Amino acid sequence: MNSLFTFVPGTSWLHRRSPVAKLAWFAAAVGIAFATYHPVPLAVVAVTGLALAALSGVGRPALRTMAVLGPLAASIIVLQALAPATCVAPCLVAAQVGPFAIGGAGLTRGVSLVLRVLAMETWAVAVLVTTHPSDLFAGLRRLHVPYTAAFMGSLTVQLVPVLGRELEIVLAAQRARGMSARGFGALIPALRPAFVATFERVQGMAISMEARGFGLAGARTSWRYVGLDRVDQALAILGAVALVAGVGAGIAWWGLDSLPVVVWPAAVAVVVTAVSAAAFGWLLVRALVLTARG
Amino acid sequence: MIDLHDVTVRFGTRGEPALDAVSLQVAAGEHVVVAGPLGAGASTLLRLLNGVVPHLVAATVIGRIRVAGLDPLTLPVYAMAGHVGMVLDDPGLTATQGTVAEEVAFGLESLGIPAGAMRPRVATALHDVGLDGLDDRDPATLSGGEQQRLALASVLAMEPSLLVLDEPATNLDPAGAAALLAILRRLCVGRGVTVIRADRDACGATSGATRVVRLAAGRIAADGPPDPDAALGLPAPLGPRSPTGHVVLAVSDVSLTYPGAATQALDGISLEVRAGEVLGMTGPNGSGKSTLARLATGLTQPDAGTVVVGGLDTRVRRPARERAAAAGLVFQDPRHQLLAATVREELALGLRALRTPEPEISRRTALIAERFGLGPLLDRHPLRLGRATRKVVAVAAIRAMAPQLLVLDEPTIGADDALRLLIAQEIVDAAGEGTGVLVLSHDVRLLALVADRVLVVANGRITASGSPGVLLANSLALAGAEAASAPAL
Ligand SMILES: Nc1ncnc2c1ncn2[C@@H]1O[C@H](COP(=O)(O)OP(=O)(O)OP(=O)(O)O)[C@@H](O)[C@H]1O
Ligand SMILES: [Mg+2]
Repeated sequence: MNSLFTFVPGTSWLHRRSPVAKLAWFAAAVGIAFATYHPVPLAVVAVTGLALAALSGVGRPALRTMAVLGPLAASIIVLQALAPATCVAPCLVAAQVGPFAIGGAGLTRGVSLVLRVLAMETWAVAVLVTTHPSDLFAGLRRLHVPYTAAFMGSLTVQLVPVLGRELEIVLAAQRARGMSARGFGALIPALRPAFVATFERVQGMAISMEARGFGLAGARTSWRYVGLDRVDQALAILGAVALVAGVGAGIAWWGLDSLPVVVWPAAVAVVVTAVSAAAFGWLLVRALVLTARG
Repeated sequence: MIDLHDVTVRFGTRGEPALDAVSLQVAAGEHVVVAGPLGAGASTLLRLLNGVVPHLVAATVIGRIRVAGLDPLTLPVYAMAGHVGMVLDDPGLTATQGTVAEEVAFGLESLGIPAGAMRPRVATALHDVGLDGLDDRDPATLSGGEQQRLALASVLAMEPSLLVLDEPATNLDPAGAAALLAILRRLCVGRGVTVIRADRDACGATSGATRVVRLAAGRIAADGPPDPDAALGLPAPLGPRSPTGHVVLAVSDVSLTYPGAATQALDGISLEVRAGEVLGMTGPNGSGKSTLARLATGLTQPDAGTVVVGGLDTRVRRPARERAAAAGLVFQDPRHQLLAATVREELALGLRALRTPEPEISRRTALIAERFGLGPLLDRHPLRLGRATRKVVAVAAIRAMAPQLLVLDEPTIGADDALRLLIAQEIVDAAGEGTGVLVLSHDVRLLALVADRVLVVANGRITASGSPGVLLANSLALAGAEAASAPAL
């Protein structure tokens, strides 16, 4: 659980890129994801993110996060496709299966929502998994993000692994006490102590940082030097261009929040909805079983 | 350097003040030990010196304080950082960076030391505390003693003129503790640095100090030069036993390497603990004690070798309930063990998991609480308690479950003499009831009190074994096996 968005050491091409360049491209991906609902550009962003992760040898964590998000994504698609509330005029029905009408617009919205999440998720994994948190921080500083803001940013990123680690510790403590620490059943009672412990840890960090001069006026120096070679410079500029162009295109051509009208072939609509429904159902059953067992 | 005038500190509005009209002057270059039992106010006194109390830990403070000519009551904590270096008593809480080297560099960055000048200072600080080669490790994966060394290094690197250390040696092995004292002496005598440190260890550890200030219930009870006769004597064992029970723990030829580590944390360890026996284990920081403790209770599995608890291989999957009834582990860091919202609930948690009937749970909880002196604390939140008291709660909670095998990882961290004796008595009682006990500790006096046999580990191997009297007599020689290969702290 705690390794989803955490740094994995490595020497791949992406690992060696400057955090400044990576942050620029990450910003572009997030910008595009928010600028449009059109499934095609969203899919392109998501697939490049995944390809990048795979080429850097971190495709596995990227896929793992997708697997975690999978049932959730499926539920979005199913709910959007079947819930009549999303049926706005001209309310195209893509297919009719027994009593269920699969709304074309709802299906598009569901798929777009999922792609939007995936577009950001794959890029987030690609960047976070290949960049040491300290480099990320140094990169933000290099981009002239104010120290405290950059620090809060990188602390938030690190909070996920801190919480994950505290959770692991609590699960071990539960096992040592004879509580069956497995599945959802164990996770729920573990959350509260894990949050309490995380809170205490964060407080301890705050004291130890301030006692070591965090907040002092005057220029902070940096242990980590973030270099920017030619390739990185070019990449950073291209990333910035992609951000501007992508957001511009999103707004100008595909419309910020308006859904494109996609005509779904009935068979495709049925397959997408059915697969999603199966995944969603699997999630429900699993949750029920685990809760019953715990 | 330090001037406290009539200082009173209160946490919350009720109850006795934590410090009661304390006045204390410390000159530059002095090395002061603040001694006194748990709760006497030593940590509060230290935390005043850079303003952590009251700025980051809420409290009402009356009186006048000057430290290095500055007033920590009006200045923010970070403004004191150039003068005062503080190491808190819980090193597990304080690491903030992703790697060991960056952790040490953090304070230097705040002070604006240029990158070029930072590198040698970080390297020197890490070398001084014996952490060479661990630069790139994630601090969270360090052993308890290594974490403490890191906390020390990150403050030493800043070269403050006043060092404020709260129980800096509790997690250190004897060689590390001795080396720390040598560093402090060097800083005091050689560079005129002022040192003030809390140390509950009434005897022994005051060596090197120029002055001992003894606190009792928030007041200064005594203040003077250290007692030259207060040498470390080993206490007599609490009643000799000759355990002959069946084997409850059999570890054979166990090895383990942590992911990404260059060396094995455990390298072919074998040992046995019988019912009614207390086996002590000691060894330098990072030698693999805590790793072994987790293996022995089935919380983790070895790469090679077998661990058999109560006749069953720990690799065999069993319900958590059965596993916990067979083997109980008290973690080194008590923060990692406490789960409930009250001490009462904490003591009952394990019994509930063992499906003990409710009336029996209340009976046993009350009994255990009384034996461990936790009666007045039953309704408190465990994480509101100090480190030593948390540890007592953890020991009590596991002891309540009456496992066949009891594994205690550093049970006396932060304890004073009275608490050490209480825990020792509980260990001996448990053994008397037929429990097999494995105690992993740097606390030589605890081991002398309770152990029937002692094993010494270094670098994941057992290097010596024998009766406690012989092995513990010279606690420094204990670390000798390691001292040659690892740089002293
Ligand atoms: N998760 C981990 N990843 C990598 N190395 C680890 C991890 N946990 C422990 N280690 C290393 O394994 C070695 C043994 O650690 P362990 O905690 O067992 O030591 P210990 O004898 O209990 O030390 P201490 O006296 O400081 O408590 C240490 O060198 C430690 O740095
Ligand atoms: Mg340990």
